[in-house]
Amino acid sequence: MGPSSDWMLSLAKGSLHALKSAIPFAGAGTTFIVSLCLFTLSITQPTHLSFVRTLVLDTSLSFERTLKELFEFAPTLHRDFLDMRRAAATHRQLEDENARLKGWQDQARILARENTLLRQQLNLSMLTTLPHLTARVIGQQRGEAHNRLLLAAGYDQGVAEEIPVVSGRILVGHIAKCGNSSAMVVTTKDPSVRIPVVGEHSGKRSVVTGTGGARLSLVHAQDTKTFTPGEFLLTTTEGAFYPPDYIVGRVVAQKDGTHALMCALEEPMPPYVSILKHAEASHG
Amino acid sequence: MGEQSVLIRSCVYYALCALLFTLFFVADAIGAAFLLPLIFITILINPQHTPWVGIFCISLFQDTLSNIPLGVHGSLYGLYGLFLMPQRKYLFKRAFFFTWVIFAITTLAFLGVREGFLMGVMHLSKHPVNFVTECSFLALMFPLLFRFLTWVHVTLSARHES
Repeated sequence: MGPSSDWMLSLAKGSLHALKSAIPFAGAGTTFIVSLCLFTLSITQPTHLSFVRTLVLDTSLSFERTLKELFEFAPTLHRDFLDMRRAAATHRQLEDENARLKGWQDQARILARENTLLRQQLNLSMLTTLPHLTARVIGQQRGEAHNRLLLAAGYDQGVAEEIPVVSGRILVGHIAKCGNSSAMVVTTKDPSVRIPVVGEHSGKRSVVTGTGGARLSLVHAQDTKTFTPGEFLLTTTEGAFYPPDYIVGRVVAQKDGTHALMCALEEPMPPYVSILKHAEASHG
Repeated sequence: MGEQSVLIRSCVYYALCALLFTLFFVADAIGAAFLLPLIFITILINPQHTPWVGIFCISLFQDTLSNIPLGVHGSLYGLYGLFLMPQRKYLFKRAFFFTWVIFAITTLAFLGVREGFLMGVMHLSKHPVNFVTECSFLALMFPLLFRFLTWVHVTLSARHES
C-alpha cells in the first residue's frame, strides 16, 4: 500500500467519524432548515401557504370536536356502571333460581321414577300419554243444576264435542257444546253426567253422577260401603267414553260410619285443562 | 372481578380523555411551548430518539393557532436542539435539581428569544404576563414530564433488551 492509499483510508475514516458525530444533529438541523425555509416562504409568499393553515386549522378543529365527544361520555359513566351492576345482580339471581329449579326438576324425576316403580310393584295399570290440547278456562257456571266450564278453544283449534277433558290425572268432564273459538265443558260435578267407575283397590264397579257440589252419588242405589275408604274411583273402559284410569273421586269414611264419595275436581278450578283428542274417534 | 376491571378501564379512559382535554385547552389558552421539556428530556436521554418530524408538525399547529408566520416555532425548536446537543455531556447524569435549573434557564432564554423576535422583527405584541405564566407553567410541568419520560425510556429499553 502506498502513501496515497493511507491518505484515502484516513480520509474515509475521518468522514465516517464526522458522519457518526453529525447524525444526532441531523434531525434538529433538518427541522431548523426546513422551518427556516417555511418561514421565509410564509413571509414572502403568504398566499401560497394558506392551504397549510387551512389544513392545520381543520385538523385542529376536528381533534377538538373528537375530544369534546369523548369527554361527553363522562356523565353517563356512572349510570352505565349502575346499569351493569343491576344486570349482574339480576344475572346472579336468575342463576340461583335456575339452580333451584334444576334441583326441583331432579327431585321430580326421582319421584316420577319411584312412582313408576311402585305402580309396577302394586300391579296398577299405567296411564298412557295421550295427544292433548291445552286450553285456558275463561268462565265457570256453578249451581245445583249445572256445573260447567267455558274454555278458550273451539273448532278452530281442533276441538270437537263429546271429547273428555282432564287436568293431570283428574277427570274434569267432557265437551258438551263447541263454537269456533270456545267450548263448554260439563264437569264431573254436574248432575247430568253418568260416569262408570271402578275402585282402585277394591275393584268394585259402579256408575256415579255429580250433585252440583263437592260430593258424588251412586246412580243405581248401591251402598257406598262397597268401596274401601281412602281409595280412588277411576274411570273404566266400559262405555268407552272416558279414557281409563283417570281419577273421578275418592272414598272418604265419615264419623257416623258411612262412606262419602268426594269429587276429585276441587275448587278453585284449574286455570288450564287438557282436551284429549283421541277419544273423538273412539266415541263416534 | 369483571365489574372491577370494567370500572378501572373506564376510569383510566376517562382520566386520559380528561388529561388530553385539559392539556389541549390549557396549551391552546396560554400558548405554551410545551415541546420544550420534551425536546430537553429526549435529547438528554437519547438524542437519536428525538421525534423531530412530530415536533415539526406540532410546531406548525402552534404557529397556526398563534396566528404567526409558519416556521417560527419549528426553527426555534431546531435551534434549541442544536444548542442542547453539545451541552449534553455536561448535563447527563447530574442531580435532578441541577437539570431542572438548567431547563428553567434554557426555557427562559428560548421564550425571551421568541418574544424578542416576535416583538422586534414581526412587531407582534404579546402581554408580558403571558410570558411569565408560560415560563412558570413549563418549569412546574418539567418534573412530571421528566419522571414520565424516564419511566417510558426505561420500560421500552427493558422490553427491547428482553
